Amino acid sequence: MRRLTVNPLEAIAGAAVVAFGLFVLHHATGYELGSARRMGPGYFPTLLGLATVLFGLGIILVEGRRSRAPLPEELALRALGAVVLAIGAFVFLIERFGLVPAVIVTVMISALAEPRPMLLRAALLAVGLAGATALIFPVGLGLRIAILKW
Amino acid sequence: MVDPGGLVTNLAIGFDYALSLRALTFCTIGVTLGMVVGVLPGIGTMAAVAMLMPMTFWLDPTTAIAMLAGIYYGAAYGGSIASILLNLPGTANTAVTCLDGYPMARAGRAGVALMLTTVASFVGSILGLTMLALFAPPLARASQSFGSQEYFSLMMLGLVAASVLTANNPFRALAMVTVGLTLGLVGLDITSGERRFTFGLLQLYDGLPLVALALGLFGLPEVIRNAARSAETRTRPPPVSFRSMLPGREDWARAWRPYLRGSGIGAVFGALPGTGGLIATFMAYAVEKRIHRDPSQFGKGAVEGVSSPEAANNAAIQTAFIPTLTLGVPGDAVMALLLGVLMIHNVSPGLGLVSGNPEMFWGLVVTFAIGNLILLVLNIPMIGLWVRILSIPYSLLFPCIVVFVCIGVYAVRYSTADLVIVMVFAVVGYGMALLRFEPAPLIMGFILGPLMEENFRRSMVLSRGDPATFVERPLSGSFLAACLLLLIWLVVSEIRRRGRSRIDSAN
Repeated sequence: MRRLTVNPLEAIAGAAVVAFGLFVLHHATGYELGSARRMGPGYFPTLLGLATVLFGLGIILVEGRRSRAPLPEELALRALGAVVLAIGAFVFLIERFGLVPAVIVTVMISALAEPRPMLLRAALLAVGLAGATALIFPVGLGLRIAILKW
Repeated sequence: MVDPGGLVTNLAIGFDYALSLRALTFCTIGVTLGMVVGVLPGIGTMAAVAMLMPMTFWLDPTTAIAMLAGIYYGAAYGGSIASILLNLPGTANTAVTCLDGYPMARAGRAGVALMLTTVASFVGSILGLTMLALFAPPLARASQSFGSQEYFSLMMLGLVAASVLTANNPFRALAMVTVGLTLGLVGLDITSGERRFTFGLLQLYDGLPLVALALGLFGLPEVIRNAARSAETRTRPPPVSFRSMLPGREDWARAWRPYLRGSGIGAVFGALPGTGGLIATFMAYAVEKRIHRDPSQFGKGAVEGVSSPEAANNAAIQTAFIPTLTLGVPGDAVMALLLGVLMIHNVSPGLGLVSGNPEMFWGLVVTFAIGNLILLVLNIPMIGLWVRILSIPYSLLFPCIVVFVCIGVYAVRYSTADLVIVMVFAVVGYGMALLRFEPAPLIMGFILGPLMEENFRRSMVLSRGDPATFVERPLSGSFLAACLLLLIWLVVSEIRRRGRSRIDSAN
């Protein structure tokens, strides 16, 4: 009897896929299923949800049993946080204060993604990029983005 | 089959467009950006095309495609530079070039390797392009007999082939396809007027924005992973002079047959739905190694080992336009994005595009040829510049990428909500990368989702609810039979792999 162990990476990956499929199935029941002849809006999503669950099980039971892939050792949470926060800052600033402040803050926050950020270099880059993007987008391409406002 | 008089007229129409200042400008911008993206490891072709997409929305569709395609084939030229000089593939499709390109560079023949791959890329592109010009029009005419059943089955074949053939983990890829198909359904259902998976959010009624999804899944996770380890020092590439690039007569004699074989392999794999340059490069390398008199030379700097895969990759990129433009079935994720751009511009692929709109189809064919000529100039006399770009530190690069992503997505419709979607998908995409999910099948599914559902529903209405219609129609049936063969092959290779590992563990 061969052992029936499943590699943890595939177990997590497959479970995530199965969960997504069940979520889709759950939502698809809210839409009219219709018949094969006249399909309602729920028909195709239901098929897809079923297939997703099936493939998720395939990941766990087939790929998980032969895989030796290790779990990721470290999460780049700092980089992830910095990049997502940088975009968030852009969202917050672009319509309130305009392009130049948005670009400067976005560059500074995303520079924090590195393990040892070089802040002076980032500041110079931020100023240069703010100028360049202001010249390219609102001035050059005529996009309706305010350069600076308060 | 091919009417020579018509071909001349069509080419004249194509040149008329391609030599316009507008076309030349955007083609040059596209291929130059492609080179930059290709040269720099850590920025993929997909991410670059997705980043530039928003900026093409205000262009006419022909120019938009010409520019974005330029990024694609330009990156294929540039990708080999990093492969040869640093042993780091600049793009995924130039990974094979490392095998013999880097040993050549270590033997002091970097310049020769760069010259040979550039010429290989050019030869492959031009042969692929010839295939595109010859086979797209008849295929577009043939597609007229396609009903919704054929389209559905062909899309199914494309998705299955892309998952089964290109990925190591087919279940993962298939799961990504169905997740992508589902994401493609978000928004208003045209047939019933029902809003699906919108969770009451007004911003989702039009569906998930393609650019936001592509950048969230492709562009940013790449940035995040690279930024986290950018403290590692980069190796400095050796300088390459123009003089060192001139191959000897013996090199040319060894390279020209692999050029042609590689182009042929690439042209076939590029045109098939679901396969693309990546498989073609591996096949081309394997073929050269098998037929070579002395296979032990491979991996130690064999000229054939760099020539054939490069030609294959570029030929595949050009012929990949055949199914995309004639049938609307993209072979890989970049083609899926280009198809998405066409749909945003309300251009539908097929006979209408190829024959009904000769300015567009032939304009693109001629522009691609000119783009490849520009790349030849960019690569041979200006090689030193690219080698220097290779040493730009990543810490300067990635904040620029984040800023361009922000502005690009925002500028599509001045919507900060789209950027919030980018943030969500950046987190999702990073999680997917940790669990080793590939985003490419997801994007293909996303683009094809609504089309597949529409064709599926229409077929079922026509057949009064009998699913046998997909098998009974000969063409549709053979597409599905091909799907089935692929799946059987998958199961068989799985069983054989298992048998082998059992023998391994018994020993």
